[in-house]
Amino acid sequence: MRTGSFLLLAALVSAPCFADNLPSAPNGTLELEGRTALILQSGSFDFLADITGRLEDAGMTFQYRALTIGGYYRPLKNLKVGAFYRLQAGVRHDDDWVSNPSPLPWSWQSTVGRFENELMLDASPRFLLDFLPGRSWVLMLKGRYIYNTFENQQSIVARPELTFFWLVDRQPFMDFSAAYEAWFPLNYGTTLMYESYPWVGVHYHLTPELMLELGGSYKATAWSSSQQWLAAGNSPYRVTYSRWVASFGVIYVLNP
Amino acid sequence: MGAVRRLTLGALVISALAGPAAVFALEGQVIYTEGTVTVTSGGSSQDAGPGTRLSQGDLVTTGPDGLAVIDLSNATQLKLRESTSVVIDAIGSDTKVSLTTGAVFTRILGKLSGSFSVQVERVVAGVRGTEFFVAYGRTIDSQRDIWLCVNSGLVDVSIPAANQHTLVPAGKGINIVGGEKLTPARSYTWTRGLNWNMDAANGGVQDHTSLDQAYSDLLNHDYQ
Repeated sequence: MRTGSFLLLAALVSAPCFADNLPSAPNGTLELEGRTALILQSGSFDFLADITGRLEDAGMTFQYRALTIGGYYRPLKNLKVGAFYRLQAGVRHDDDWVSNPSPLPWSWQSTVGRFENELMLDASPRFLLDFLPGRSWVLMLKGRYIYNTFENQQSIVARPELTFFWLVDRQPFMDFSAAYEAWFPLNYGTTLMYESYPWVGVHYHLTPELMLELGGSYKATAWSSSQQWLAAGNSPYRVTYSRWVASFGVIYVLNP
Repeated sequence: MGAVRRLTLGALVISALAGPAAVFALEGQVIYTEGTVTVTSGGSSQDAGPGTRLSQGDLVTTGPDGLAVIDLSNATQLKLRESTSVVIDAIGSDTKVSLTTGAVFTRILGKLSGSFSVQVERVVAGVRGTEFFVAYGRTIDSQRDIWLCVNSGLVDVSIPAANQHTLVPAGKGINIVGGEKLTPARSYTWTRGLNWNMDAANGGVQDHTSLDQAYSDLLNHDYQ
């Protein structure tokens, strides 16, 4: 009886300690993202340059920043393929959950100053759903392969997206999109999906060249055990981190 | 008597020399063709070629492989693209043509003494010393769009029945939505590919610009 009581007490005391050492997952927080993109259209080619920044965590720290350059080629009316390079910093990976100094406390190491390189290959078939009311609906199925030189991580991103274009005098005035994006890790993590989220967005076509973008998503990221955590002999964990992301963008399209 | 005869002869010579020019001043003719071109006059149709005379009321039609350049009153030239029909409503100081289908380029030669206008359904494009292109666009909800763009000069586009009008300057174009609503004139990328040449001696005169380019390609939007 005494032994049983002791074990129960030990379990109750140790459980919170164990939980405290897991990656913090403050569900329901808000992140703010801003981006500006320049798209240069030339025949079947679109060249793109994009700068994105994001305020994250409860303190709204300027965590994520990225520069993306690349382009799309349109071999078929209903298909675009693309290749991009991205320089990014502030990305949190599973292995960034570290104990320093060991053994406690466990925390996210800062990645704000750590730059990573990504190479991306993209294929996005799209279809005009002109049988729907309004006849200006487009379904796009974006698939993207991402190779991150940091720890050689590879991912496949799938993003079905439905867009309705509100046309005024035959020209887009606004468009409304709904998408679901899912990241499938190929060689990291322990979950089928590393990150997934529904996204809704609207573009206001200020002029044929200039667009303003507003978007919102509810992102869920599945963190798996870091290497250091496992090396310390701890039991594996999976933590899902969910948060709202509000985004604003300015997009300029040039067609010289 | 001898003096009178000499005067009469002189008048005839002058008349003979001036005659064709005077006829051209009030009429028109086909000056260049490619493919199938027909002229319908007084209910009868004939194949047309360079030199075919044109009069008020004539209908000039190009086939799917056709192209025609016509001259009206030695003052205005029109280039009819493929599958185009133009009716010559009036020739003279107040030259008027109607575009019933297809696309046409127009050019005023020198200084226009009178007026020239192109009627497209209810839309009137009136010009003074200019070069412009007018064409039917897509038919949406049974209404045909009419596109007009100006290469030089100024075009006064109006829909008298709707009391609408706007001036379209060089380098700009407009879409008359459904043939009923004038939109603001602005630059359109697709107009840069138009072939304004009407003289085969200066190179190709065919124009293959697709009017589909005038419409936003919804499948081309990709921002990330």
